[in-house]
Amino acid sequence: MKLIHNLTISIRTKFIFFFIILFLIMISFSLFVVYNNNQTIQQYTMIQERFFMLNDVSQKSAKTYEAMETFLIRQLPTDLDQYQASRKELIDAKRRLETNFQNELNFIETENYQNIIDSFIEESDSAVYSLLEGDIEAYSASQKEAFKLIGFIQDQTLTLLNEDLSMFQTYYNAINKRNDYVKLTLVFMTIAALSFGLIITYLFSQNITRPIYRLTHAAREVARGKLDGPTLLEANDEIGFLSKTFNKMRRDLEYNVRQLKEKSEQEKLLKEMELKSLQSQINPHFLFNTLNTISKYALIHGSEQIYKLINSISKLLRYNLGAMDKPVTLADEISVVQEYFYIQKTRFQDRVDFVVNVSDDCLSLKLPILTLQPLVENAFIHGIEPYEQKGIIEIEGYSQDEYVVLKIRDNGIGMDQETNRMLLDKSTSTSRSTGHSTGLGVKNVFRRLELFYQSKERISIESEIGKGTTIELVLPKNFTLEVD
Amino acid sequence: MKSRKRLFRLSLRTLVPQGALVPSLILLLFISVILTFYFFKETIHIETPMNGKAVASEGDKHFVLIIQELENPYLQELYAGAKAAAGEKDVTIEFWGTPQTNVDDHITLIEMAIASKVDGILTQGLTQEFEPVIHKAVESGIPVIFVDSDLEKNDDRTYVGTDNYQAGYEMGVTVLEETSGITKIGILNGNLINSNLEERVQGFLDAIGTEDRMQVVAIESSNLSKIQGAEKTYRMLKSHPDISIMFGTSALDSFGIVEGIKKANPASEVRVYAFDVLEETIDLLKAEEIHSALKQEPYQMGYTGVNLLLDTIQGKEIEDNIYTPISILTKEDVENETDS
Repeated sequence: MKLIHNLTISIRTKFIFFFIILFLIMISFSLFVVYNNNQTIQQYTMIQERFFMLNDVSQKSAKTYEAMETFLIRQLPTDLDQYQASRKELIDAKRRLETNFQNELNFIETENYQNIIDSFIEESDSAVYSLLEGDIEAYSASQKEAFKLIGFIQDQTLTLLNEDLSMFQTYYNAINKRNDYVKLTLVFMTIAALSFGLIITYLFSQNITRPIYRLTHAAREVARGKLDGPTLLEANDEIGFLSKTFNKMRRDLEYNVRQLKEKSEQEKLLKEMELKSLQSQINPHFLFNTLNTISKYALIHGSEQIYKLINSISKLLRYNLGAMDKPVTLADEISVVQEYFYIQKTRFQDRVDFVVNVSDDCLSLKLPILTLQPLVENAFIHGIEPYEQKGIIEIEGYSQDEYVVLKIRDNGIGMDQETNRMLLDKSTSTSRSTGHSTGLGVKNVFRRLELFYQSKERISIESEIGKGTTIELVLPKNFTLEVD
Repeated sequence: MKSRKRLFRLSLRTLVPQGALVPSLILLLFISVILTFYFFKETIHIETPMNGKAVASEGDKHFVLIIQELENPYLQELYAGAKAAAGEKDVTIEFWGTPQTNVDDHITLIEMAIASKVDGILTQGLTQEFEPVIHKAVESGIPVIFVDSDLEKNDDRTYVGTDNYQAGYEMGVTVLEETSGITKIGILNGNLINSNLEERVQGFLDAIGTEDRMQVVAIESSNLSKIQGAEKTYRMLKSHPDISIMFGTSALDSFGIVEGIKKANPASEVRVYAFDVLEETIDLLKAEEIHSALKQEPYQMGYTGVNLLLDTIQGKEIEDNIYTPISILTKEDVENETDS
C-alpha cells in the first residue's frame, strides 16, 4: 500500500493497468480451457483412429478374399481388376499401420500382423496366378491356405484390439487424472483472480475512495465555517492534486479571515481610546480657551511658572485629542512625554528626575499615537509614586539593524513575576487601568503595537522587586502596513 | 447521513479486522497462485499414445516359443531361459501357447508363426501330428527346434532337452537299488499324447525289467491334471493295495499321486518317484511325501534352444539331439541345497 502511495501513478494509469491484468487473466482462463479441451478431443480421436485402422485392414482383407474368390469362380477380367484394386487397398491400409499404429508396446504383434497380411496376399496371388496358368490343383490349395490366413488376420485383429484396449487403459486413466488437474487449476486460478481483485479493490478504496471521502468531509467543514481542520494527505495522483489545492485554499481563506478579524479588533481598540479621550474632554474648546485665558492671566500677574504649567497641560490635552488613527513620529511622542513630565515635575519637585536619551536617527520612527506616554505614566504611578526615595525615569532609544530599541526604565519599586507575566500575556483582556491620565493601560499599548506592527515587534519587561522596571520595545523601522 | 455512514464503517471494521485483511488476501493469492502453477504443470505433463515408433531395427531376429500350457511353471522356466539367451543376442522372443494341451490349436499356432514370417520357432514336439506343419515351416525357410519333448520319429530335426528314455531308465535303476524283494509298482503317465512321457515310461520299464521281482500292476493317464491324477491314484491303490512304489512322469502327476495317496490312506508305505522339481515338489520332498524327484533343466533347454536357432540361421551345422543334464533329488539333496 505504502509502495503504491509513493509511486507517481495517476488513477487513469492504475485503472488501465488493473483492467489489462484482469483481461489477461480472463483470456488465459479461456485459452487454457480451450487448449485442454482440444487436446483431450485430439487424444480420444487418436485412439479411435487406431481402432478404425484395424477395422479397415480387417475389412479390406475380407474384401480382397471375396474378390479373389469371385474371380476364381467367374474368371472375368473385371473381377481380376476388382481383385487387384482390393489388393492395392489392403496393401495401403497395411502400410498405414506401420506409421500410425505400430509402437514399442505392440511392435512385434503388429509386425506379425503385417507379415500375416503379406502371407495372405502372397497366397491369394499364387491362387490367382495358378488359375491363370491353369494349375487347378495348386490354386485350390492356395485358396484353402488363403482362407486359413484370413482367419488368422481376423484373430490377430481381435488380439491387437484387445491389446490396444488394455494398453490404453492406463492412458485413459491418465487423461481422466489430467482432467482432474485441469479442474483444480481452474479452481485455484479462480481463487487467485478473486483475491487479486479484492486486493486491488481494497487498494483502490484506500487510494481513491478514502481521499475523496476526506476531501468531501473537509469541504463540508469549511462550508460550516471550520477552517482549522487537519491538513489533507497529498498523494501524487489526481486526488492528491485536489487535496493540495484544497489545502492551499483553506490556508488562504483562514489567513484572510484572521486578517479581517485583527483589523476589526484594531478598529475597536481605537474606538475605545477615542471614547476615553472624549470622556475627559467635556468641552475641549471651552477648556482650551479657559486654559489659555488662565495662562495669559498668570503671565500678566507675573507667574511664569503657572503659565508654563498650564501651557503644558494644554499641549498634552491637544495631543490626546488629535487624530487617533494616524501614526505619529517618535519625536512627537517624546515631546508630549516631556510636557507630561513637566507637569509631574512641578508636582513632585526634586523627588523625580526625567532623562531622555534617544539618538537622532530614531526620531523619525513611525508608531501609534500614545505609546510612550502611557508607559511613562505607568512607571510614574506604579514605580515612582510609592517609592520613598528619588526616582529616575529614563527613556533610551537607539537603532539596531532594522529595528529601533526603546527602553523605558525606572528605578522604582519594581513588580513581581506574576504581574510581569500578566502584562505580557496576550490572552487576558485589557484591564481597566485607574489613575492614568489617558485611561489607557499598558496592555492596551502592547496590544495596539502588536496590531500595528502585525506581531513583528518584540516586547519584554525586566523587573525585580525593589530594583525598578525596564520595559523594552523593539520596533521595526520603515514599517508599512500591508493590509492597507 | 453521516451517522449512518459511521455505523456502516463501524460494522465493516468489526467484520474484518483492518490490519489482517490485506495480508490474509495476499497470502491467499500467493497460495492459490502456487497451487495453480503446480496443477498447471501436472496438466502439461501428458502421455501421448505412441504411434509409429519402431524400436527394433530391421536386422533383429524374431523367434517364437510355442508350448502346450501357458500357466505351467516348468514351461515358464523354459521361457525364462529362452528369454535370457534372446536378451543376450538382441533377439526378440515371443511366448505363445495354448491354455491347455490341445494339439490342433498348437498346430494352428505354428501355422500362425509361419504366416507371421518369424525367423525361428521353438516348440515342444508333442506328437507326430506336428510333422506336416513343421515341414511347411522348414519349406518356408523357418528353422524349427524342438525343446523339452521330441517327436517320436525324429530323424533330422534338432531336439534340445532331457533324454527322456534315459531319465526314465535312471529312475528305474534308482527304484531297483532302493527296493528288495517283490515290489508292486503303479505308474501315472501324464498323457498319452506326449511322446516324451511315453519314452520316460519305456525307459523306466526297461530298467526294472532286468529283474523279475518288479511287477508293474497299473499304468494310468492323468491327462496332465492334478485332480484326475489323484482320482486315478486312489483307484489304483484301492484295487491294488499292495502297491509300494508310485511313478509319476510329470510334475503335476506327482502332485496328483500325493493327493491320491492321502485320500486312499494305504496300510503300508507308498514311495513316490516323481519327475520335475518345482517349488511345491521341494516342499513335498522335505515332508517325505515324495521320495525322490528327477530334476530337468528347462532353463538350459530354452537358453540352448535360442542359441541353436541363431546357429542354424548363420548356417552352422548342429547336432540332432542335444541333451540337457538330469539329476535325481532326494530329501537330503533338497535340504543341503537350501542350506547352502
